[in-house]
Amino acid sequence: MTLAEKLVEELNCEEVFSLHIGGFEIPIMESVVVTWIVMAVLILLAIFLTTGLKTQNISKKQAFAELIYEKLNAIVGATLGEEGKAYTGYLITILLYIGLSNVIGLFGFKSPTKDVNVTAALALMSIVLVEAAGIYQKGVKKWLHSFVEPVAIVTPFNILDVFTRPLSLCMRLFGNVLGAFVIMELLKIVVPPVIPAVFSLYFDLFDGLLQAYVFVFLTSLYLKEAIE
Amino acid sequence: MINVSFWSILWTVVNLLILVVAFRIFFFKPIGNIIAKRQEEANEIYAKAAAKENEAKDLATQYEQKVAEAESEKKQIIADARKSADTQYQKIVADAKNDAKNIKDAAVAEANQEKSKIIAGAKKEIADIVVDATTKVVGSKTGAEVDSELFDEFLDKAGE
Repeated sequence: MTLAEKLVEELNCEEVFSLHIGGFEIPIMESVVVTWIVMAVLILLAIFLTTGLKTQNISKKQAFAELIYEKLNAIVGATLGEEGKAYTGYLITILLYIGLSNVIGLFGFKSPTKDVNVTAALALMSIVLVEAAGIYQKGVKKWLHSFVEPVAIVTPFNILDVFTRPLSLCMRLFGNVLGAFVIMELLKIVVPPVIPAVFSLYFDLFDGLLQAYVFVFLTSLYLKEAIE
Repeated sequence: MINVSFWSILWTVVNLLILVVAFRIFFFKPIGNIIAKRQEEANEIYAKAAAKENEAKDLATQYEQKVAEAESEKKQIIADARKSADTQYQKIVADAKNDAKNIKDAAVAEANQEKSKIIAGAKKEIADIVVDATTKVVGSKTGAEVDSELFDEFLDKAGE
């Protein structure tokens, strides 16, 4: 198998199985299955961390859970501000999901975020949330009016923003994960065995978590702009 | 890789919505609740502590007041005691003076009485001596009886 073939095989998202519901044939792709694994890990971890909570004489586990809770709230809440408090839960969940998805490659799974459909879904949800939050916070009239602000001439660009923002979110995440993956594969072939491990720290761990943060940071920025 | 699949997008959206809801139920709610509850408990404890402090302050002022009252009462009692002791003293001294005077007077009266008694005794003796002497001198009893009146007269005059 040539390098190119190997890469393409790694990059392709295979169909694992398909469901037949009614007249539809619904394919279940690899990325969806890995997403289920990520979800299962996150939910089990959450349940494990939040069992036996007390107000006094807390266990180390609870202290850790509260630390994570506070830190994540601080990270996301910092950009979101007081008005956006209702959306921190969603953003933290997305942050954890993307973060774990990006680093799950280390455990031998194909990162779901390496599938453009997943990042597209994430971006789609983000933009729906942003616009919905804008409508909810300002009312339809003011929300529509926000398109002609600050001057009427920028209206086309504002409308374009609604499409370019999710597109950029989607492609940035996908591109970064893909790029990091390709570089790592090349490094593994060119300079084995120790050097890839060093680079892996950056490309697999740091970059993966950084991209998760960037995605959530930008979404919260758009959110804040929409609800102000 | 880049082949867009509607089903994958839909699946991912559904998955993410489930994950968000699950996290709300299993992570944010319990921890948020427990933190809020702890905050409540802490507030309660602070409120209780503040109430206790106020109570203690009240008690302290009450005690101070009581101590001050006791102090003034003590002064009052001491002053009263001094006053009554003084009166008592005056009274005792006055009584003592009175008694002394009475005793002195009684002694004087007795002495005077004794004196007059002695004088009377002496007078009688002298008279007897004189009568004896005169009787001897005169030599006759009859004459002596007659003349005793004369001697009495004489002695009366001499005793004056």
